[in-house]
This record gives sequence, C-alpha cells and structure tokens, in this order.
Amino acid sequence: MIIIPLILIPIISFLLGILFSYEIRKIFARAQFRLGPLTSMYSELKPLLGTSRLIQPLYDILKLLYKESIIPKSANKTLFKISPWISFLLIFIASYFISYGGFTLLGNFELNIIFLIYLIVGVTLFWLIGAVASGSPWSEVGVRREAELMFTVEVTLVSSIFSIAILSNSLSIQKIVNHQLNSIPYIILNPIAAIAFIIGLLGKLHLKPFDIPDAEVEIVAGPFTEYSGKYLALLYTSKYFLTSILIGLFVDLFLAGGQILPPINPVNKIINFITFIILCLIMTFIISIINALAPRFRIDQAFKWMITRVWPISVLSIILSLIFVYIGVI
Amino acid sequence: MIKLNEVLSELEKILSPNFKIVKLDMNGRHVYIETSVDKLIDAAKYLLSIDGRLIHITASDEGYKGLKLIHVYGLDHLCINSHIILQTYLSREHAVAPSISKITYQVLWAERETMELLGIKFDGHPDPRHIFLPHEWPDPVESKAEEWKPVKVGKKCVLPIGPYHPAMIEGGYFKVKVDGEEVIDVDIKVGFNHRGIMKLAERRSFWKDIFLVSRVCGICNTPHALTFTMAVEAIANITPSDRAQYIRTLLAELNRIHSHLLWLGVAGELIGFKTLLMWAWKIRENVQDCTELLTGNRVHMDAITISGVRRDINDQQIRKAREKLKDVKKEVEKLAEIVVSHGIVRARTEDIGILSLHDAKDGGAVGPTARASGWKMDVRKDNPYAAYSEEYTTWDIIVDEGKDVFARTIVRVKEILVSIDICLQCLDALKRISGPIKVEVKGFPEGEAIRKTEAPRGELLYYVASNGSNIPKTVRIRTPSYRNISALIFMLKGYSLADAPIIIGSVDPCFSCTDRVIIVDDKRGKKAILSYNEFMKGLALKKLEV
Repeated sequence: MIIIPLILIPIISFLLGILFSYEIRKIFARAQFRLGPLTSMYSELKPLLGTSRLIQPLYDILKLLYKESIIPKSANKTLFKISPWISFLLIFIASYFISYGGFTLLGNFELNIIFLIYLIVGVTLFWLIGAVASGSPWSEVGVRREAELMFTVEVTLVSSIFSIAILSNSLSIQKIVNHQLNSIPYIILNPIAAIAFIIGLLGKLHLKPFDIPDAEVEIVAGPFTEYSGKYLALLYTSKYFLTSILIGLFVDLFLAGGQILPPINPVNKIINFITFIILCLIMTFIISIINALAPRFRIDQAFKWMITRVWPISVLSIILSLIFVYIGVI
Repeated sequence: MIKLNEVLSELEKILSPNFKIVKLDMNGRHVYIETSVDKLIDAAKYLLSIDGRLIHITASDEGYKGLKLIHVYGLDHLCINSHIILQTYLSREHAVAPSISKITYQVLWAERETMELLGIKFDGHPDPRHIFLPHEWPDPVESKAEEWKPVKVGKKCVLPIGPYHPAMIEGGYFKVKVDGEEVIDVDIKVGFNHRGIMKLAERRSFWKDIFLVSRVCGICNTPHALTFTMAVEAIANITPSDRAQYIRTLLAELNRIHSHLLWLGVAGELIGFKTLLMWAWKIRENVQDCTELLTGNRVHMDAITISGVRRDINDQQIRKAREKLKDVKKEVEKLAEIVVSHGIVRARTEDIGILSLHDAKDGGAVGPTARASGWKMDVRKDNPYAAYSEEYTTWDIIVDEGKDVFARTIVRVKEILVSIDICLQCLDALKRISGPIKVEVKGFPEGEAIRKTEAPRGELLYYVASNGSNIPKTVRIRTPSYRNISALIFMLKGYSLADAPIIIGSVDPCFSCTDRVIIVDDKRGKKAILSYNEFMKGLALKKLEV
C-alpha cells in the first residue's frame, strides 16, 4: 500500500505548486489591470494538456524542455549540472513530509520537522552552489544576496516552526495537526508565529518585497542567470514544489491542516483534502496581495529590517508559546 | 540679478580688441559675438564665474571661411532670455581650439562630439576618446586598431549594465565596477544608436526637417519639432498667431504629461514595483487617447509646422479633452499619494543618488534633474516661448531641495499636475480666441538662430543656420539627456549596485536622443576599454581584473 502515496504525493505536490504559482501570477496581474496568464498551447500537446490557462506555469516548464541547455565555458561543469538535480531531489523528498489534509507518507514519524527544515535549506543551498559554479558575475552578486537573505529568512522560518512545536510538544507534522484537532488551530493561539512564517515564506519564495536575489533590472536573473533549457526547467520545478510545500506547511502548522472532519471514512478524507486546498488558496491569496502591492527592498534594507523588526517578532512568538505551555493552556 | 549690458561691457574688456557684435536676436537678448580663439578661455572663465551656463559647444562648416566654432552661453536663468553666442573662425588646415572642459565638466561631451564630427582638435581635453564610434576605432582610420588588454588594479568585479540589459530598453552601456555591492567606478558608453540626424537634416528642406527632427526621440517629439520650428521662424521672421501658440503649448504639455507618467512607471519597475508601472501606464493611455483626439496620432503628433500648426481644434474636441484631462488629474493625484506615502518606495529612493547643487551646475544638469537639486531653472519661465509667458498662462516652477531620487520623483509628479493645469488653461483660451492657425511664409533668408524649449527631460537647444535656400545649412541639436547622463557620474559613485538602475533611471535617460555619448571618470588615471568582442566575452568571464 505504500506505493500509492509514494507515487501520488509528489504529483499532488507539483500540481498544487502549479496551481499556487498560477494564482500568484493571476492576482499579480489583476492588481495591475492586466489579464494574467493567457496562452495557446503547442498544437501537438493540446490533446494531452487541454487549453486551460490554469496550468500556464506547467507550459513554461514544458517550453523549456524543448530548448537547448547551454553550459557556459567558464562554468565548473560537474557542479553546474548536478546541483539542479540535487536541489530537485531534496525538494522531491520534502514533499512526502507534508500532510495534505491527512494524506501523508512521512508525516507521522517523530522529528520529521527537523528533516524537513534541512531539506528546505538544502534546496536553496544547491541553487547557490550551481550559481557559483556558473561563473557569471551576475550569478555571483545574486548568490551574495541570496545568502544574506537566506541567513535572515531561515532564522525567522525555523523559529516560527519551533514555537509551534513547543505549543504542541511534538516534532512531527501529523501530530501537530492532530493536536490542533483536539484543541484549536494554532493561528488563534500564536498569530505572531504565523506572521513570522508568512514573512519567512515571502523571502523563501522570492516574492516581493524579498525578490532581491532575482531582481531582473539589477542582476538579470540572479542565481539562475546562466541556466537555460532543461536545467532551468528543473530549477523551476523545484521552485513550484517549494511553493506548495511551504504553503502546505503553513496550513498544517497553523490551520490544523484543513482537517475539519475526523478522518474515519473516505468521504471525510476527501472533504479534508479539499478544505486543505481551499485554505492553501486563501493563504496564497494573502501572499499574492503582498507581492502585488510592494516594491523590492534593497538587500541591506531587507537585512536590517529582518534583524530589527522580524527577529524580535520571532523571539516573541517563541516566548508566547512558552508562556502558553507554562500556564498550561494546551 | 545681473544686467546683460554690464556683462557685455565686461566681456568687451576681456575680449578686446577682437570683439564684434555680429547679430542681435530676440529683442537684443541673443548676442552673437565674433572673437578670436585665444580669448575663448578667458571669456569662459568670466562667464562661468558670474554663474553662467555653457550650454553647448558646436561647430559648423563655413566653406572657404573655415570652420566656425560656436560657444553658446546661457544667462537666461539669471536674466530673462539672455544668451551670449561666441563665434570663432578656425582654419581648415589647423583647426585647434582650447578646451573649456578643464574649467567646467559640462562641456566634456560637447567637445568630444565636435572633435568627432568636424575634426576640430581641443587642446588639453582630458578624455579625447571617440564619442560615436567604438572606443577601439583606429585613428586615423587606416591604422591598425590596438588590441585591448586589461589593466590590473586590485581585485574588483566589473559588471556590464547594458547595452542589452533588462533595466534599459535602449542601448546604453554602463560599465560598473563594484566592490561587493558598492559601486566604486562607472564608465558610460552611449552611441549604439547613432543615426546621423543632424547630417540628414542638412540634406532635406525646412518643411521635411520638422518630421525628421521629431523622430530624434519618440517620447518628446513635439518639443523637438517645436524648437526647430521656432529657430526657423526666427530666421524667417515669422510670428505665429495666438491660437497657434496655445495649440503648440497644449501639445507640448500633453507630451510632458505622458513622458513623466511613462517615467514614473519605469522608475517603479526599477525599484521592483511592477504594479506602479502598470498603474502609471494605464493613466498614460488616457493621455495618449487625448493626443489622438487632438492630433490624430497617439505618439508622434506631427502637428507643428513652420508658422503655426497643421490642425485646428474644435469645440467638441476641447470638451472631450477637458473631461479626459480631469480624469487623468484625479488618478495622478491618487497615484502620487501612493508613491509619497509608501514606506518601501521612500526607503528605496530617499538619500540615494544625491546630486548637490554645485555638482548639478558643474555637471550641467538640466530639467527636472536640476530642479530636484534646488536649482530654479526652467526654460518655459526663463525663456518664454509659445504660450508660457505671464500674459498667456499662469503657473509656477516646481523646485525641490531634496537632491535625491525621491526629490526627482516628486518634482516630476508635481510637474504632471502643473502641466495638466496649463493644458486646461490652454483649452479655456482656445474656446475664447479665434484666428488663423498658420500665417504665410515668404521664403527663408540667410541667417542663423538658436532656440530653446523645455522638453520633458530638460532644456533642448537647436542651432539652425540658413544660407538663403530652402535647405538648412547647419542644424545642431543639444538634447537634455546628453547633459543629464553625463551628470550621472556624480550620482552613481558610492551607492549600492541595487541602486544603480534607479539612479540611472532617475534622470530619465533617453538614449535615442543622447545617442552618442561616453564618459569616463577623468579623476582616475587608469581605465580599460572593452572592445565589442571583449564585452561579449565579459559576460561569461568570471572576473574581469580591471
């Protein structure tokens, strides 16, 4: 029976990533009085994929697969080729850890949240390694920015995750979800941690105001500048995975994973899964609005802002959790 | 305030015995003086010491008389309409003149352009490199080009911003040397789009030239056509009717509104605010519609002609245009509110790219760039043309003391509102005033004239000379971006690389009107020039050790 979630979960995760990326793009466009993704598909792929605009992000990847992968002369070829694959592999594994409305493979065992954090950090790290190996000055500046941003963002993200772990007294994602079913969603108990998580999520997904590493008017495409063709497709795929995993993680940690009914029969399970997706879409809507209405920070401003404003919030969220545990609300 | 008579008498003392007033224009306010080459530096020193501006240096080929070197000094920001034009004849065989760029930075490019176009050598020019041609172009052409070799000065990373770069739609090449994120040196090469319009204009008739010069820049096409026309009218001694003047003002201001809105959008994109780009350009669509309503074209109006305008505006058009402009005004006010109150916009633009008043004067900044540095200078007030003078329309110059990118944004946003106000006044006046839109043109006598207008980006200068035929003898253009881009060097150094695009963007660079530029920091001794091939490689090179 393990084979079904083993195959199904990455597919679900990827499709959700495409859905959320579409929503981010669409709302970004609607906020600007544009129409957003509108496309016509390659005629030979039409019967396979249909003409829906929903999967525009998928078309983007498919288009890249048609293209030639150029490897710059100055690059360290082994690292340049292998690091997109490793980052893809890491995020692929990470997708098994999330609880999709109760449907999960590795969500149950203890300490899995620690694994997940390492995997998520690893993805960004291998993007950076590939970019450094490309030898382009644009990538170099992009990597410097990405590393600085990563330093501040990971702290926020991890401290927010840990404040939830403290509340539930558990390091397992499914157990955290189950805890919330017994008491109340943690977004009500610890909204500060939720805010810190959203800020971390914006930084992690390179949404405005934290799209500093791939600011196209300054440094072309930042770390991805020299990537093209299949390798770029791979990087985009891992980015879509990352989108769905982080948003799913938010719903799991703060909104009880969308489980409104006890998962005793298949109907309830399906309702839970749909609730999970709806909650994810609402969450995506919020970050899309922020993305549409903010300009980009400069890297030093972002760094300063994160340390002076957001880190205190992160610390506060942990303190809040500790107080709740101490007085025994949970 | 200074008096032109006092300046002239002082100048006579300096230049004597070679002082000869050859022509007076604009009620005696444009003084053409013929003098000798050796006195030029003294004259420049004096005129700059009384806070004058050296607007342009150019030259024209006068046949057997030799080459005529023309220095155009502007005193109009001190004393209304005043210009002093120094002219010197140089022999064709030995065309050497002293360089003024040792005294003031602002003419660096103008002298290089003259060197390139007419072969006049400037003694003591700090940076006599090619301006239109590639740096490595052999001189003389028959000799072999030297191969470029990198000069090693420590370990600094060089990033090429341009000529093909997402931040710039047009071809300009900023070689930015960075230490980490900090910009420590800039080298600018422009001239990827040289079209030789000034030469082309000398081959066409006056009537055709209007359409040619409005193609210098697509965005500020009306000021180009208007300035050329005004210069020709000065030669032919024509005064257009009041109605034509109002229509000209209206069209020029519509041009300014759409140019500033376009700039606001681009600036938004440069700081990563794509939504601002889309909003600003959505408003701009209304202005384009208004332009289409009045002239039939959305961008290139082509409505101005010698002695007037080509199309009249009827009452129905006036009513529709008024409604459109009032909508635009409301939306611009809303947008301005967002820009001014947005925390991140302020964080990204405040205290960035500071251009002090001294640097603005030395670097020769013009237009909104100069006004944002606290320099009260506007051709529309200093040098009233069309319907800008007091008796036609009432309005104020927008000045800001901020000196940074935010100040330049504020100046432009406020200018949009002022422009809309002027447009509405013009529309009101057009309802009142009737009259012909054209007057008769009785040929073009021999003569020369300079005329200036305030293009959206700043002061635009035309020098036109006629030899009595229907083809101009000389046409010389000094575009505003020419000056503002050269002043960029004062703004870029010391700021972060992330700020470089918005600082470059903040002067509203228009490469198609600048078209032919290079600057190099002359304070630094060592510099390396990238050839085209080297540049193409440069993108892939890990680190250029320059």
